[in-house]
Amino acid sequence: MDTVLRIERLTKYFGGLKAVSDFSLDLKSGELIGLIGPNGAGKTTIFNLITGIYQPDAGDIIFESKSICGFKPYQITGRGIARTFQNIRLFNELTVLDNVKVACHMHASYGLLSAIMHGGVFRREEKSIEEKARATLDIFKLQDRALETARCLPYGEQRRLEIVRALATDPKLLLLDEPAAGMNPSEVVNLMDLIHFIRERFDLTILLIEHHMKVVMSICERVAVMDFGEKLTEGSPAQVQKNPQVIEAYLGKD
Amino acid sequence: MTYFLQQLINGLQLGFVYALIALGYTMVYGIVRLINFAHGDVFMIGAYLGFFAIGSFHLPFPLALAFAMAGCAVLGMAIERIAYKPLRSAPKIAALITAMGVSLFLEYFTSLNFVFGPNYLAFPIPFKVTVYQVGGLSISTIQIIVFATAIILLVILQYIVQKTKIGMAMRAVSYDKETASLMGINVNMVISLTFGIGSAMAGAGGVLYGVAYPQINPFMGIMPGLKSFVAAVLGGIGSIPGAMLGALIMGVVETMSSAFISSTMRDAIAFSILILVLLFKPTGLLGKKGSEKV
Amino acid sequence: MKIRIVPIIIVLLTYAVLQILISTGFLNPYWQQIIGFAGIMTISALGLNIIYGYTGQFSLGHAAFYGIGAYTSALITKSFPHLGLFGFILSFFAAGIVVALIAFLIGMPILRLKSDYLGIATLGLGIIVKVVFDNADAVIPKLGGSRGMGGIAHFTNFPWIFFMTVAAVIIVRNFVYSTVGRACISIREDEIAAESVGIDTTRYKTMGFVLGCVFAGIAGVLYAHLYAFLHPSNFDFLKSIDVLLIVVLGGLGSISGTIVAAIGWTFLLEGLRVLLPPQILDWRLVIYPLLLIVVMILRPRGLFGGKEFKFLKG
Repeated sequence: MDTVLRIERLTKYFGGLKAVSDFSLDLKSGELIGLIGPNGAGKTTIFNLITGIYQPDAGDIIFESKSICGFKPYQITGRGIARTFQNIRLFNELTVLDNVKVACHMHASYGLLSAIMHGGVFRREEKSIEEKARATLDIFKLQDRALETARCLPYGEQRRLEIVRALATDPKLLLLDEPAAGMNPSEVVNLMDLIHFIRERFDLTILLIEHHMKVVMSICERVAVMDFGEKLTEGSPAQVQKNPQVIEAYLGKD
Repeated sequence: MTYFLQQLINGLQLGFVYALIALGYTMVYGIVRLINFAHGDVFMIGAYLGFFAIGSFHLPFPLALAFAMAGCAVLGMAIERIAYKPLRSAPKIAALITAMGVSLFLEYFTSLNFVFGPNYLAFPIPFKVTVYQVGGLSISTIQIIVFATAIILLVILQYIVQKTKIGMAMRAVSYDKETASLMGINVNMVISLTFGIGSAMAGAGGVLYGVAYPQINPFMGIMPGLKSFVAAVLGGIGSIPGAMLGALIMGVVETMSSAFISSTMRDAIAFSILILVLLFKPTGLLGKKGSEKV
Repeated sequence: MKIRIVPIIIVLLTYAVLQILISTGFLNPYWQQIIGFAGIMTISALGLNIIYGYTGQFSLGHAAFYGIGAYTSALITKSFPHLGLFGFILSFFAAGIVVALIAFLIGMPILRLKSDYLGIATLGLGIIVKVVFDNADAVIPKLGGSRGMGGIAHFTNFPWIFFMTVAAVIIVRNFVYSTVGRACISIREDEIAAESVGIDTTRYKTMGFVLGCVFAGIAGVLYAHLYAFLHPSNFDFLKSIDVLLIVVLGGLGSISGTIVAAIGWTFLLEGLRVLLPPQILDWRLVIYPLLLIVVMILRPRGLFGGKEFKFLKG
């Protein structure tokens, strides 16, 4: 198995605050890795660094043997990294179908002139986008909601749509930021099924930030633990659970 | 050199007037995230109230000032209650457009013949004006009064905002309206008060403007209002010290451009500086970096 | 392009009816000019709708590009009067290119700013451009500066207005219901999310801005050759606010709303002029903002908030 993502000694300051400090992590192709830690540990910052929203102050991020530091977010998505957000970021006023169509943009689009002329190129590309978007919705059983406005969906379905939208970009690496946040137990079960389904159906590597320990422990192969911007430890879920440093980070010292 | 200093003094005079207006913009934006386009017209009403107080009621300057400030405070609070409050949960742009509507209404209504009429009126000066020569510079009573009044009002405002309970309530609401209300703060009252204080400041600005540049007319608020607003943004919208700084800079730049370059180009120069500042400091000179949580 | 018969028939019928009314003199030159102005405002407002309603970029400098289009085209037709109608057509292209270029150069740095700040910057831009117009005669005397530029040929007539307005509507509609339009809307909805699904937000923000400004420029060309006289005060920030009012009133992101609001606004102002008895004619400009306030309070999302006539949907 080759390394899909190598994070090398990543460091990020915000003013005087060290948000991420000397963080390193390797992701091998096809793995499902969990990234856990108390609030404020720097987990989302790692995601933002990987996806190009922030630039690191030190260290490097290497995706498929090429450094992706300094690229803009849309370029990094173009290279095959997709993500979801801690606070759902859907295109609220667009329909479910259109949300997915926007994600198809990278692989099928045309220029302004074709758009205005609504000619042959337009019709051809639109058809392929429509087909791909509908097919994607079908896979995830969202086709009945295709023409509903995104903000009208129930919370659990919104989270699902966000994941589906990310997958429509045909990524090789999927970053999920607290996908189970705010979900009730039955929604969490649906989510875990969804993640299993994604792993089987698509050839993907997944990095998952989660607070829901049940989710992390049951689906992740490896877990990395962060606190105060640093990596505390890394290992199998069982190993990490027993690690005294981890326990201290979450529960505090006696 | 003396010419330069003279223009600097003139610029600061204008800047202090702008500061009084700019504060109202920045305070209102800080608390309800609204660009109150009607604010410049409240300034105009303040000038007219001063005009009537001095010209018709023959009130001495401090009383005329108080009259104008009180009148504008009431006007500002009324506008908020009638036009902006209904739109608090609507998209921000709706309130903005309504503010533009209020602005147009104030301008055109007061320009009707049975109200103030559309023509320029000469503002009566309620005190004896002497011009003092200090080391080659001319300083008139008017300038002294403008500086003194503005500084006193600004100091009082800073005191209210920083050192009183109501000021703390205002600051709390500007950070987080919902939490402030959960802490027992009467948010509606605080918002009304903010509009009231901001409008009173603008009213004072109107009287001082009338005294310093003694021609008033219903459309006089448009450009000063716009420039004060730009000044507030320049300094960092939502920041009171920022508004003061931005306004002083605006006044000085405008006066200097007019004196040393060209008076027709002064607006272009002032706004070019604004755009340059924004490109390098997108949230203004003293503005907080509005970071979006990703 | 899918050919929809019914809308095409309605459009042609409307044209025929109005053209007959004009040719028979039933609609006098005054009302012809008002109709012309309604069409011009529609085109300009559609442009701002692209920039603000669809791409979410708050621009308060729209009138500047309207003016640049007007002055550029007037300069061409005045400088080459022997080219006649061909000169007029040429001036459209000239105006379009000049506006696009300036919008592009300005857009690149300025579109990085966030909403309210972008509004201020574009407002400042509008003021700077107006000052340039005021002093333009120092460089090119023909432009007239603050004395105004007169003697422009009356090329704009009803057919030009009507068909260019229809073309503008078609172009906006096709833009919206395409991948380009969707990209722009996604930027409006959530710029960060748009980037995360692969949208080059800088490119599309600039594209939307330039396209919208070109619309304003084209409207300016029609305006210059309708009124035959240009003065910098026609292109100040108050005019930018007028266009903004129309777009918001109609409903951001609604083509139907923009059309209805632009035409309605033009006829409201003129209608009041006709309806009100002369003694209280000045009340026209008092009633208009009051109506504006009432409409905004009653329908904060605009008349057509988010909705569209069926035949425009894609």
